[in-house]
Amino acid sequence: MRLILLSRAVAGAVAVAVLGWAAPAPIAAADQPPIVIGATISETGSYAVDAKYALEGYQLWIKEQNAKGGLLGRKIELKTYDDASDPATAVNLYERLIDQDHVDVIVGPYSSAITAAVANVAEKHKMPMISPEVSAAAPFKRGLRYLFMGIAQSTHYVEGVIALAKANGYKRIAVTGEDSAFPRSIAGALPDLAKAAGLDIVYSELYPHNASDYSAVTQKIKQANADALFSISYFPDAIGMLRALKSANVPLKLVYFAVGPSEPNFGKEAGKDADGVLATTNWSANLKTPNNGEFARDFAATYHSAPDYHAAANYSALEVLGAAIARVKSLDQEKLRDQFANTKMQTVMGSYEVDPATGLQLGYTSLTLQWQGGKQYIVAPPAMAERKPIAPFPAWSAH
Amino acid sequence: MHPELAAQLTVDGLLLGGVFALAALGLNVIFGVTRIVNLAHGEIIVLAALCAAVVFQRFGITPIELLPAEFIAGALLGAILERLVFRRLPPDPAGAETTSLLLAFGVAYFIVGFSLAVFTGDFRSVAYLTSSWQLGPISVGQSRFVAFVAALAIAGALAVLLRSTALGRGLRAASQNVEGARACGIDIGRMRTISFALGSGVAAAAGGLVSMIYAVNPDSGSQLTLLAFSVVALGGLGSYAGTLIGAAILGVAVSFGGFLGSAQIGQLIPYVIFIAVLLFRPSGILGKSAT
Amino acid sequence: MTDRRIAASVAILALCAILPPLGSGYVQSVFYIAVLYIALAYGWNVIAGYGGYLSFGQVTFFGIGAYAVALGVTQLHLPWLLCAFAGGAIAAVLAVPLGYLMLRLRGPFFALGMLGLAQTTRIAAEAAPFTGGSAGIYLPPGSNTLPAYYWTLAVLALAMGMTLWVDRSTFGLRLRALRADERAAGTLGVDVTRFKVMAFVISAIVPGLLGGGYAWYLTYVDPASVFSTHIELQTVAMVILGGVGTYWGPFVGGALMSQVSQSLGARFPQGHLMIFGGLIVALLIALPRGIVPALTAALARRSARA
Repeated sequence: MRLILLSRAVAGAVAVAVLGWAAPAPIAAADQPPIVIGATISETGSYAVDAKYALEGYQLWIKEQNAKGGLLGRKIELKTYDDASDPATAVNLYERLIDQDHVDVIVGPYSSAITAAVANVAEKHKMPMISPEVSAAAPFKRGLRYLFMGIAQSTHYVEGVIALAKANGYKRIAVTGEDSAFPRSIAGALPDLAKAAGLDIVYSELYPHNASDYSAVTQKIKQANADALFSISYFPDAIGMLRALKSANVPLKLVYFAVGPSEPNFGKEAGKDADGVLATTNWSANLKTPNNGEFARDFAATYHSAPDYHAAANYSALEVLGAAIARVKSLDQEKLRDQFANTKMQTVMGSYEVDPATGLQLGYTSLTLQWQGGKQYIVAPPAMAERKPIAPFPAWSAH
Repeated sequence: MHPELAAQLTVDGLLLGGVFALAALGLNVIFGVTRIVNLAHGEIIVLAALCAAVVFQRFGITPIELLPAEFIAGALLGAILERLVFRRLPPDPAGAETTSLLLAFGVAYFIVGFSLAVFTGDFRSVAYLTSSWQLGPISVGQSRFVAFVAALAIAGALAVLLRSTALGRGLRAASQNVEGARACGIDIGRMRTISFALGSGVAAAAGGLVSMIYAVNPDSGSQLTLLAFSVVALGGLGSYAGTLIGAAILGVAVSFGGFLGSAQIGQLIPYVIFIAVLLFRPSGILGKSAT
Repeated sequence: MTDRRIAASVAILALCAILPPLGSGYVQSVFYIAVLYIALAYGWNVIAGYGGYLSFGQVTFFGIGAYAVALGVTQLHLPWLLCAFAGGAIAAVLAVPLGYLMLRLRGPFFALGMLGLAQTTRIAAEAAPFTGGSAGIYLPPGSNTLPAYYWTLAVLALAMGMTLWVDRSTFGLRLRALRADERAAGTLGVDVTRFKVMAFVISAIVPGLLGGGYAWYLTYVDPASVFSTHIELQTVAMVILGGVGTYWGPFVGGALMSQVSQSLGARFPQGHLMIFGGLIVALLIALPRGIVPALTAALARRSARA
């Protein structure tokens, strides 16, 4: 369903062939041209659901910063294209941003697969890139110099839930989730975490993307007599699995769906069944981070909905970028790279700090949220909790 | 295997078969009369599911209350599609099969684009009848049970319609022998329009029920088309009893395969069975002829 | 006619070979994607256009080619070009039994059977122990655009050459006879199965070869990106627009799509899909054989009048 990318590529080829070569470097018309930040966003295709927030996060920071007078006395502009959730299109568009549009700096796209391909472009052009939407470690382990993780590592996602299971004595845990890069990175970290907490994994199996049904997996969870379910799910599979669990009346004491229920509209689509469901988020309006209240307020005022963690992650990537530019007082890519690698700073998401060698995030941590009475509340870690977690998970008949 | 577990897996499989049958019945109606595989079938199901979700959230009208409206709207859409698009299929007997597939492909594209423009890419679902009944050790999901009963009812209604009414005789004649039917004064064009209307109406009704079981977005359609087609091919083209049996077999196979094997095996079973059956018995289980 | 086709094709290919290195990395990547899809379209056109067997699963071979390079480079430490060749060879070898099996299905059964096959391969790649599963495989980072581009261009030349051969050879003639009436062709002594399988193998080699270049270009391979239904559907739509079973159809289809896309802009991606679907339907009704045959017919009428 993504004709756009292809047609655009062909269009580009035709245009280039017709109009001739040598795209001239843009001439600085005014004496103070804006600083242009480039990125692609998956506005259509399979990642489009979350990517909307990612774009709004970028836009909001730029709007706020321009209101404060921009950066280095220049206004800031955002240049984005729709990569249609396709890695080859994203590569093409980052080349376009860099070569044709001559953007001054770039920031990351959405998803591991797209970032893996785009990071290679950034590396080629020696342009540092903070990636606010990739929490899996694998893309950072190939010796890239210019890629930095702008979100908590996925191995942290389940820590709060593991602690909760341990505290309540839910020893038998079942692990499932979609078989794709990000869920697999979490599922892969679970055995060690469970072992350290003294929990037993009694069932572990991933289901394919677009799975046609979840009732067989649900039956296996029931037969394994699990206390707690760790299902690393996106939105549609979280709903499908929740329905199947309830249909099969699986007696679970803890139900966790990773990121699907962190979407604000999960409650709308899941209805009362959402109550008690746990999920991971990387941001909350209650975080006592600098400017966080202002961010949440401005976001709601501008986009008429509360931000989710994707918005916060993309917003804070630009906070780090802005601080780096202000500090080095130029757009020198090598200097910016060193800033990204060595800076420790507070953003709306928490403490940004990366491993200078790999770009892996060390500072940010994850939060655990729970749906209670149709609303999301942070329930872990305890220092950040808005409410006490409901445990055990309410009986299905009580939903 | 413990007998209770085997019974539970069988029930799960049969209920899943109900969902499969719902998705497949309409496709079979259209194919039976027109020999067109409507690749946009899954998209119509999804469109109806999205409508059901929005109506439920806005007005509190449940998908079951909405079923008649969904059926009528789907039937209208189907009739319009046939009149506007599929009727204009060029009269080229050799290439007609290919061209009709390509046309349906274009229609599917259009509906995906339309659904995206109206409903965005968000996943939607209806939180209604999500509980289960407990029959001894066996649990039966309510929404799945409703879908199962609806599939049986729709198949029964179609059988009655085809066997016992003048319209049904016309449809059957049109599906078996176009020239003969025409000679008997049957309006073939009208029969084709009616078959598209019936098939799409059933698809839309199915969409309303599916919205209570899964979350869908405009991109979910092609998956459903493939599943529906597997069921139809397995059961035999033009045979409604075959569709029910095919759906039940696939449902039970998915349930047991997914449990005893892996989730991957459960996902692949419909395609593997579909391809294997076609290779060894091209007409399907109860079908007369696939050519 | 044929000579002019060859001359025009060589000129286009030569242009495509000369221009990209003069342009920026962006120009190169634009050319890469355009040439990739046009080559995929040529590959698809042989079995679907000339053979009359509409396939929704040729992307299976594309994915196999991509994995040949990803695994060959990272596990066996072989040069990528060798692996890309191997990808084409593996695709060809697999296509023979698969062809014998799948081509027993006809029409929608074959089309959707192939769609099922592509899904099966994707899930197998996700679950297999040696593919790195759904986490994917990372290739060494590097500037691979031009090498991948020239590889793809070479495959396009091959695909155009094979199409030309199919178009004018007795093989192609028999293939078309078979498309028109398989049973009649059989009674006339055409070895139906062999010809179908040969066409299928050609339509598998092309994506098999292209997949390796794609892996090298992206430096990352995962099952969802290389066994992608979307790649398949784009290819199909392109050939339909240009003209199924014609020599220039795949090329013209691409150019047309670009025009529509340009005039609509990227601002309305959804409206865009609607208009594309509508255009496919309208074209099939108005010009059931696609743009190229309609143009050819119009030209022939004009020259007949003159």
